[in-house]
Amino acid sequence: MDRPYAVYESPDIPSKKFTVVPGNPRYETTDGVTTRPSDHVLNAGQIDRDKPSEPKREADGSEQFTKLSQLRMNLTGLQDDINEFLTEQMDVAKAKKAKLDSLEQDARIEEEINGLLDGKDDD
Amino acid sequence: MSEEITGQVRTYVTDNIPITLISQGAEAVVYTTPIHPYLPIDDSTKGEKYIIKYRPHKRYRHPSIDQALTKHRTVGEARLLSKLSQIEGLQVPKLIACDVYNGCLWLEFLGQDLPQGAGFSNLKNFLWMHAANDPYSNVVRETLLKVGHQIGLLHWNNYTHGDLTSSNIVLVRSQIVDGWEPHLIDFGLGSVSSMVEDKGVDLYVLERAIMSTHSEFADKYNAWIIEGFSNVYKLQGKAGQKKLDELLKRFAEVRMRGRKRTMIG
Amino acid sequence: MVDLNTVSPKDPAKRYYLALGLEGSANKLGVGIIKHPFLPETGAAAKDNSHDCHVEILANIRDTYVTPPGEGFLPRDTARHHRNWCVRLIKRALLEAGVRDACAELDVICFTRGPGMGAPLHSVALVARTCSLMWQVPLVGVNHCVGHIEMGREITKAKNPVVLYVSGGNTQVIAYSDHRYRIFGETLDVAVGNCLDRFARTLKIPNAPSPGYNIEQLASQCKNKETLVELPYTVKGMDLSMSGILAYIDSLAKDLFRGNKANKVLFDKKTGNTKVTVEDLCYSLQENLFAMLVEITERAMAHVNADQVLIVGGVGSNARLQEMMALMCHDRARGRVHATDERFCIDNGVMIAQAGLLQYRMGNYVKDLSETVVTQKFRTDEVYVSWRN
Repeated sequence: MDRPYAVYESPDIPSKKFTVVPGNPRYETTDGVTTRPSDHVLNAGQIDRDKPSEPKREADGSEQFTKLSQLRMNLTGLQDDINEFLTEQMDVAKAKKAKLDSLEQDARIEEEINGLLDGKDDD
Repeated sequence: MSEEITGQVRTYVTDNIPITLISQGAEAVVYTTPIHPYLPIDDSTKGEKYIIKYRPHKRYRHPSIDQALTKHRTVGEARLLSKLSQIEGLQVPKLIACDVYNGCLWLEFLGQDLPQGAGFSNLKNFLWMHAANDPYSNVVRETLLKVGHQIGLLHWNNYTHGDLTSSNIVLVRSQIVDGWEPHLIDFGLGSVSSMVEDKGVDLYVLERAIMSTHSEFADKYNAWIIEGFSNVYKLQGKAGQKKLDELLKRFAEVRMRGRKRTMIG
Repeated sequence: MVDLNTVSPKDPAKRYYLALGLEGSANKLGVGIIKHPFLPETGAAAKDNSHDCHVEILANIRDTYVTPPGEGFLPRDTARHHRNWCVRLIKRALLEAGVRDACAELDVICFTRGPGMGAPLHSVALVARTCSLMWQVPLVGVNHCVGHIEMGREITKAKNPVVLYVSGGNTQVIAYSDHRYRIFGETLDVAVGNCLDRFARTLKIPNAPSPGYNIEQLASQCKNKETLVELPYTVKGMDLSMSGILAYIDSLAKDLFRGNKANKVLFDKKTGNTKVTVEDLCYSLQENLFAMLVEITERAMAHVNADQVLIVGGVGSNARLQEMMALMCHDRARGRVHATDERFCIDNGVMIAQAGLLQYRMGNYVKDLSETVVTQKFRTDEVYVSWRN
């Protein structure tokens, strides 16, 4: 059976491929790491009734997971990979913006000081 | 129109003062009366009309909110009108008398009927009348420039209207030239304010009102109003220009904010 | 002249349309199935019947993501809720509606394209796309606010009313003109539902069934209705602002919760006894906010010369708001107020199906999947309303 994969493209990153690693337990569960309820609500006493159902096995007693369940597990792992990657990217973007903002802030403060020195009256 | 409100007003003004309803706004009902509160009826006042603006009690809101609002708004409007009437060039109705606890103002009557049965001469009817044949005619342009001029004067003197719509601008036939003189009315939500934010919101509210009621021609109409508005500031030299830039910048910001505000359903 | 029959039903012999609606822009996941009979008037004889489609509701199922008291719903957890329940809800709805073969029977699948929270919107749109591809059924992306308006119009049969749309994320006064729902007034900051929700969180008022409902119940139990706690009244023309009120009442709520005796509004200066209860705060907040809402609605009515009001959105099911609005309409123009009950007021799938089916019947549906990208910001007046005169 073909395994699912995903490709990410952006101006900064030409192409990043996400693939299923066979045998890795990350791709053999329907309970993803990044798709659990947030700790925030769990700590507040949330009862998790939105948990994905367990994967199903074939009815013939072969212990094999059904095709659909295999796909679900593979996708759960891929989703984790993608989420972690995107979170990293967001952190990178945030750091960049913070640097830019602080430069802008400096410029604004300087302008304001100059303005006040020139007798500017703020509304 | 609810009979109860007119009943309330009749009890209040008594039978000696005949009243004729001319409009039921959201907040106030407006009547005309031939009677002046303290001038005698003689040749000089004969045939004159005056406005009685009454803020009726609103059953829907809690009595304490109702009383507080009625008093606050009547006092505010009376005080504002008396100050605005002292500004040169600014055209607002003259205040004749007021009773703040009963929510009543006695004002000068402004406006007339438009030709061709187009209704009372407020800006809304005026624009609708012209929309039918020549929406961009010269008289429309001239009038909207003057509307902008009036708002410019208001803002330059650090006042805001709070509810600028095309029905709150009344046109009076000019005595001097062939045209119309816009007067701002209904200062129920007006205030003294030097804040650019309030002025920006004022312009935004008018822009949106024009867009909602005169949507097809709104772009040009709004541009003319702003042109007239800007001219007032530009006449004040460098300081005026600076304030104008700041104001128009904020106006654009308010507009962006209004449109782009995240809305979660 | 609006011809609602431009697209023929999937099976012309059946003489009706069947639509599936999927809604998940906030914490409610809704699935609805509706049926429109084929109207006899076609072509030049057609009238504007968009408020009277003889809709038949075959299924209207909802599941709400509820958080513990004091907590709001986060996009990520809400999306997870929707992902987990969406397929099950669709299956149940199809069963309830008696649709055995979705592929053969459904004319269109409608989903919320925005406005709303990104992640939840996204998870439901994904389900809509999958079903569309799987069953070969066309898609229509619907504006959530327009969904509320169309459902309200169809249920109440209100003809050209001023619409007050009040929910957790929106506060707008809307009037129809020239193929758009135009926004006459709106909040300049937070929405009224959001204001109530956040106040409820401070007071740890439960989120089930909804914070607004619980505030309404508490307010009705207020024992001292003569005296209000004075709050800012912030109507600005046709718009209003609520952030100041929220900040102020929130600080009162916090002081009450902590027993801060220094607060003179809440505690008697000499005895230190509580003067104000939680019920009093709820009552005052409602009276104040709703008076503002009714006032801006009345302003819009005066402006467009309307005598009817339609209230839609989650907060619209509040009985006190409906009562105040009814008083205003009566006093103003002997007019009346139209409102719907919680089945249609609170976010649901049926309303998305209703607005989506109208759009579909005018021949406007998704031609390419790229048009199905959801958007968090989607203004009511962006939608071209082709199905009205």
